[in-house]
Amino acid sequence: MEHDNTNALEWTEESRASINDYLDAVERVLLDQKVSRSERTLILGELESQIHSMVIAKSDAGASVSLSLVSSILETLDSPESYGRAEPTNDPKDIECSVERIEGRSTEGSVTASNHNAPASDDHAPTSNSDSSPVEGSTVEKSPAPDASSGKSPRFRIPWFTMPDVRATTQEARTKAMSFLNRARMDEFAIGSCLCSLMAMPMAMVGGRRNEGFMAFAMLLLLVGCIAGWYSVYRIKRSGGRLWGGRWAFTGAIILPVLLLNAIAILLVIETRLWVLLLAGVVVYLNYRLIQRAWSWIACQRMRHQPEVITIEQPVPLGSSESIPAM
Amino acid sequence: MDSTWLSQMRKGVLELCVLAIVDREETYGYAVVERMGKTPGMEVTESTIYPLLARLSKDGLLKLRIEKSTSGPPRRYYSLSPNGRKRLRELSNTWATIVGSVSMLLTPQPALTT
Repeated sequence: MEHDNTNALEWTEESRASINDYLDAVERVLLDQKVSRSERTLILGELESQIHSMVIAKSDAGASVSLSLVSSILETLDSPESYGRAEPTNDPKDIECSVERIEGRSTEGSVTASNHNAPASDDHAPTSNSDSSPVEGSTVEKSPAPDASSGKSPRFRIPWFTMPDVRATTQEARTKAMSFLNRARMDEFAIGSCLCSLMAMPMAMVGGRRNEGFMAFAMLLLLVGCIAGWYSVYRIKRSGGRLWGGRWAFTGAIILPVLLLNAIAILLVIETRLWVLLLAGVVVYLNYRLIQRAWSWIACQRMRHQPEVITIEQPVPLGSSESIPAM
Repeated sequence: MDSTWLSQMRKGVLELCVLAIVDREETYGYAVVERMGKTPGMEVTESTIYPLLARLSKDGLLKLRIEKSTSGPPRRYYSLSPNGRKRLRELSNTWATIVGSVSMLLTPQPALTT
């Protein structure tokens, strides 16, 4: 069964291109079916070996392999679409998802490794039928044949080596970055504002008495924490549940207004002296109301962004006598 | 004959047939295709055989030996692995049981008399 006619054959560029087109078309179908790389390599290797064996069996020793011979052989093979029934793999790591790589390679007129003994310049190319499709009736796409007159050596395709696809890598990195940014997480501004505000208070109390610059820095931190806190509250409110950490953001945002209010109240108490107890009670009550109202407002705004819930009533069974009104 | 039924039948026993062919001798993919093509009732083509060989190799049922060639692509020779032999035994036993049972059902039985 094995063919012993292994004399060196002279391949024309068109014949090699048509074989490559057929193999690329089969590989595209296998890629669509998510066949693993190892299985694809094996299937394509077997197919290439079979084509080579059929060409050897049908050609004379030392003769050039013409396009018509290769076309007649490819016509006897199954169409690339018939490989769509290949069994898909369950191993996601083994799946190569770059179809564009194959498409780009087919337009380069690449030559498979089996043709390494073919001449670089094609002196035996047929003079006719170069523009027709290599396989009539099939869906194999014809790629432009390489320039035979340029004298360039054919580009080999090594089965176990694939060129890195920069575009696919960039797209993958972009997808990962977007999924990272869109993931459900705590808002960074919430943590930052809370930390700024909480750090500013001890800094102002401890270092502010000795150094005015330190005090100014602490006040700046308080201001930044307040602004970042309210901004974080706004982001969390608009995120529709994707961002969380509203309590942290609210803590960072409310510290400065509360401190200012307390400072004003304390100054008033110190100045008046008579209403100390009353003012202290009012201040505590105002603080409580301020925090309560602000939190209620935030909670109310958050409720408005809840997704709408649609209730679908169960269909009435046709066989139910209770649901059918009497005629 | 219903072609769907026939294709399903072929599909069911294809793995057994390929394992049996490879069990006889170390062989390569195109030889399996030609052998199957010459088997009456089991005329399947390369688009069926090669994915099956790839899957059996991936599952560890076939051993693969690659032989380089100076005039063409490397040729892959398949032989049965120990797991492949075990699988072939299991499938053969199952096939024998099915064939016996179906044959018994198809044999005309004498009518029961009371």
